[in-house]
Amino acid sequence: MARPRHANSVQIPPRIKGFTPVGYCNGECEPLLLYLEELEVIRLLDYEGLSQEEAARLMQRSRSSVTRIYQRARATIAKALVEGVEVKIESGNGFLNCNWFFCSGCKVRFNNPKGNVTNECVLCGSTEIVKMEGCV
Amino acid sequence: MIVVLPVSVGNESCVLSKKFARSPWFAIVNKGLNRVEYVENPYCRLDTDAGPQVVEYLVDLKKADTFIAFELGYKVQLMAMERDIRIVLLADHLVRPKELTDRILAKR
Repeated sequence: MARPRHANSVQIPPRIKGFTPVGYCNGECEPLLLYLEELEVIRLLDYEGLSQEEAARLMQRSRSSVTRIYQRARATIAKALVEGVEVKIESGNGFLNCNWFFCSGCKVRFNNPKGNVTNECVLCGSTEIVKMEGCV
Repeated sequence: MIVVLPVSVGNESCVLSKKFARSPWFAIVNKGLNRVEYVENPYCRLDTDAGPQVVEYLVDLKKADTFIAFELGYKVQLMAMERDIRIVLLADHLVRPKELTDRILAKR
């Protein structure tokens, strides 16, 4: 039996649910899944320019785990770009390290650092807010 | 409630800056005093580690408790979370800061 994967700490939830190719695309394929922890590794290494050691510390994982997650993420993105396949972002083994909410009214994401009950958007006051478990 | 937004210039005609710590100016909305103050970012031209200095400046000196931004660097995120600062991430960076400051001041 395969060993269960460890959970990976993710700082902020992504702003989108995925990507769709423009123009001709391989529409008959199932969308590729990019997991939250894979997107987080791409964000930390490629967007923020961190080393794998620094990213591993932030994600509370070993450097070798981060390397593996990064390789999986790059393989998924490469396949999506070359084959023109849709990408969907899913929670996977990533967990948000703080309570995050999404406002359906003004579309902002906000955290609740003190852990108090939150029942309205801090910006627009809308009560249509949802607690985020991963993606919007 | 003291809210900080990264902005391009120090007046109401500003646009939102995409990066928080490298923003040239900040709009600081003091809801208690019903006032918006524009302050220049003294750390925007630092080569490295602008984020931590900016957080210390805004939290310790300006007593900010909420950051509103389109995107935050990981150091700013970490320090803000450690200091119980609320983070609000906008869906769109083209929103006018004036709209946001008015909305914050008008909210009960």
